[in-house]
Amino acid sequence: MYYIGISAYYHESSVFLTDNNGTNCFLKEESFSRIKGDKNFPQRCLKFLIKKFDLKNENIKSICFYEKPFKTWWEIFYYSIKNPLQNKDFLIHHLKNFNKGSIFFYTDISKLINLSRSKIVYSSHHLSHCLYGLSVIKNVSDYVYVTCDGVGEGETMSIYTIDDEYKIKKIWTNFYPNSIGLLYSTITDYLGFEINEGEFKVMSLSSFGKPIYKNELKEIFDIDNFTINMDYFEFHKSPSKSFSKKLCEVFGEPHLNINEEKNFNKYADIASSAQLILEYTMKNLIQKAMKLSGKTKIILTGGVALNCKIIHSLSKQDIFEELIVPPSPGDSGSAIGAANFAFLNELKTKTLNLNTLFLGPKKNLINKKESKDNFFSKISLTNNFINEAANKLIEGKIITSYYESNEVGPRSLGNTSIFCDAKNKEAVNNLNLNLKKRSHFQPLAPILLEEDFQKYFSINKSIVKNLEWMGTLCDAKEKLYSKYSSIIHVDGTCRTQIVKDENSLTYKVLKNLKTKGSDILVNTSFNISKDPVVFDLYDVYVNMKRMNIKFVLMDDGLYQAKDI
Amino acid sequence: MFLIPKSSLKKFDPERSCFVLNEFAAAEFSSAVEMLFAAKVVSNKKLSDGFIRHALDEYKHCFIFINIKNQIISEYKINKKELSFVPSHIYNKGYIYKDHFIFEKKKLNDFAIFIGANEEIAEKKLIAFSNHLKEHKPLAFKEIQNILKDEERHAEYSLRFAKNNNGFFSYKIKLAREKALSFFRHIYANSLNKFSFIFNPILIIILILISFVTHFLKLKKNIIDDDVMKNIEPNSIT
Repeated sequence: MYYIGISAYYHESSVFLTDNNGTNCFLKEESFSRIKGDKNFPQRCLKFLIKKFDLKNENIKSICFYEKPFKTWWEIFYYSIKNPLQNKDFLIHHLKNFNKGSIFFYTDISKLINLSRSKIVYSSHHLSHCLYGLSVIKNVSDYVYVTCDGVGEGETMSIYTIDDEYKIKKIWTNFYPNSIGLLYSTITDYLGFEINEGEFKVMSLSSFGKPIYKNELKEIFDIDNFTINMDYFEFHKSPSKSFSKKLCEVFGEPHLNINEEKNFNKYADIASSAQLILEYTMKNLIQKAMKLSGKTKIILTGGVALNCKIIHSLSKQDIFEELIVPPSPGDSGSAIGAANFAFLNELKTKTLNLNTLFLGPKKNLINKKESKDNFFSKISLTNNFINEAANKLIEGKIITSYYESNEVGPRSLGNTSIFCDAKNKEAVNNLNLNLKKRSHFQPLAPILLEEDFQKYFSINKSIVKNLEWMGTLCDAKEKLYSKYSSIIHVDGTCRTQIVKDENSLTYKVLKNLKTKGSDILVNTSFNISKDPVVFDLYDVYVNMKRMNIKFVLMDDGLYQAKDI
Repeated sequence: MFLIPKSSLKKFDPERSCFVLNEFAAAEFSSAVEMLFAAKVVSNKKLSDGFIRHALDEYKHCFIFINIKNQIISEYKINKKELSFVPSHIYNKGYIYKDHFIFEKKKLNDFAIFIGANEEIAEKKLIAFSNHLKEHKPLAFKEIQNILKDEERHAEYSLRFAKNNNGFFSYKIKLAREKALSFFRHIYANSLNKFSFIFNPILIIILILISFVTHFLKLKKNIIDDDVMKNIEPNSIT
C-alpha cells in the first residue's frame, strides 16, 4: 500500500510516493514540464506514478496534501480585506485565483485517479515542514523543530517538539505579515531578482558587501519581537510589487543594473545588511526555541533554511549543540512531510523510515532501454570506465553524471551533476560562466571524500551533518587556497559536499581521481541557468548539446553524445 | 517558434523593443519545451530526432533574443524588472497550457500543420520587428536573419510533412483554420486587460461586502497546540 504526499500551487510542485518498505519515489513537476519552479498541480508526476506503480484506489492507503487549502487562501486575504480599497489590486487578484489554487485539490486529483474521498487528507503547512525534518534523524525527542518561511496558512515561524510516542506539540507561532522570509524576498525583489529564485543570488551577493544598512533594516524588522513595519511593504496591496516607496526612500532606486560597479557595490551592501538581519533574527528564533523546549539540538526547515550562509554564521556563535537543515527544507520537500503526516495519522506512533538522501526514481525507472543507444555511444572499452572518467577530468574536460537515483532538494549531490577538476581554473570558469550561465558573483561548489575534508576545510562540528547534502558553508583552509582557489567564495567560504557512501559512483570517481593527484571536484547541478535539472535521457542529450559537453558518466560506462 | 508575440513597433523604442524581445524569447522557449515533449513520445525515431533538432534551435533562439535584449538594457540603461525573462511566466502569458502539451491533444498531422502555420505567422512578425533593429542594432539584425532562416526551415519541414500526409483540401482547410485560430488567440490575449476593466468594479463591490462581514468576525489564532495530531482534522481543508 502506498502513501503519497503532494506539495503544489505555490512553489515548485512535488510528489512523494512510498510504501515504507524500500520503494520511494520523489518527483518534481518541473522535471516533466521542463519549466523551472513549475507550481501547477503535479499531474504529470502523478501520471508517471500511476503508470509505473499501477496506482488505484485499492493500493493507495492515503494521499496527503501538505497544507490546509482554504486556510492558506483565507489567512492572507483576511489580513488585506481590512482595507479593501487600499488593497484592492491584491484582493482582486487573490479573488480571481480562488478557483486556480489548492482549494480544488480534490477536483484536480479526481481527474486522474478514482479515489475514495476519505483517502485524501490535509496536513498543516508548518507541520509538513516539521515532519519532513524527521527524515534525517533517529531520536526524534532529542530535537526541537523550528520552521521559518515566507508564509504558510498565515504562520511565518513555528516551534514544535515531538516525544518518543510521536506526540507533537506546537510551542510557539508567529503570524503573517510578521515574516523575516517576506522581508528577505522583498529585498530580493528590490534588487531586481525574481522572488523564490533570486534569494540564492542575494545570499551570494551579500558576501561582497558591508552591512552598512543594518540599522535601517532594524527599523523595518524588529529582530527581538519578530514584527515587521508594513509601511515599507506592498505585498499585501499588490500582486506584482512587494516594496513601497518608503523602502526606496531608504535604499534609493530599485532594479538598477548590477553589472555596473557602482550599483553592484551598493546592492552588495544592501544584500549584506539583509543577510545580517536574517542572521540576527534566526539567532533569536533558535534561542527562543531552545529556551521554550529545553533542547539544544535543532531541526530547521522552511524556505529560510535554504540560506546556507546563516547556518554557517550561527554555528560560529556556539549557541546550540547541533543544527540540521534537511536537503529540501522548502515547500518542495514538504511532499515528504505530507506523506509522513499520512503515515503518522494512520499508525499514530510511527513515522516513515527513510534511509537515503536519494529518494528520487532510479534512472532505469525513468528511461526506455533504447534511448541510451539512440543518443550515446560507449567510449570506455574496458570495464574500468571510472578510471577513464577520472582521466578525462584530470585532462581538464567537463563531464556530466547521470546514474543511480535522483536527489531530493535544489542541489544535485552527484547523481545528476556536472563535474570538473577543481584545480583547473579555466575549466571551472568556463563551466560557471559560459556553460551554466550563472552570475559572476555565484561561486561553484566543491565535492570531495569525507576523509579529505579536514585537509582543506574547517567547520564547527554542530553543523557537520549538513555537509552530506551541501546544506551549509564551511571555511577554506590555507591549503585549499594554494591548489583550489577557484572554488573559494570572496568571504573565504565554500558550499562543500562530502561523500561517504563507498558504493556510490561519485565516491569511486573521487577515490580514483585522488590517485591522479586531485582531491576535489566541482559539482554543479546538471542544468543551464533557469532550467530544471535533467530528468530523462532526452533532457541529458539536449542539455549536453546546448552546453557543448561531450561526456556523460552513467551506471555502466562513460558515454559520448552522438550527433543526430 | 509557433506562437505569436505582440510586436507592433512604429519606430525604434529601446524599452518596447526589449519587451518584444522578451516575448519572442518566451515563445521560443515554449516551443522548445513542446518540441522536446513531442520528441519523447513520438514513436518514429526520425521524427523524434527532428523534434530534438527543432528544440535545440528554439533554445538557441531564446538565448539569442535574451542576449540582444540584455545588450539593449545595458546600452540604454533601462531598469525595469518586468523585462527579465522568467520561464514560469510562459504559463501566465498563455504560451503553454498548464495541464497538457499540444502534442498530447493533436494528431501528428494536425500538430505539423499547427507548427507550420504558426511558424509562418511568427516569421512575418519577426521580419517586421527585425527591420526596426536594422539601423540601431545591426549585429542583432544579422543574428535575427539567421533565426529567420531556421524558422523558414521549420515551417517548410512541417508543412511538407502535413501536405504529404493530408489530402489537398483537408490540408488547405486545416492550415486556414490554424491561422485563424492563431489570429483569435492573439486578439484574446490582447483583450484580457479589457475584460478586467469590465469585471473589476463588480469585484470591488464584492470585496467591500466581504470586508463588512469580516469586520464582525472574531477569529482566534492559537499560538500553542498541546497535541497537534489530535487537534487537527485530517479531512478538512480549513
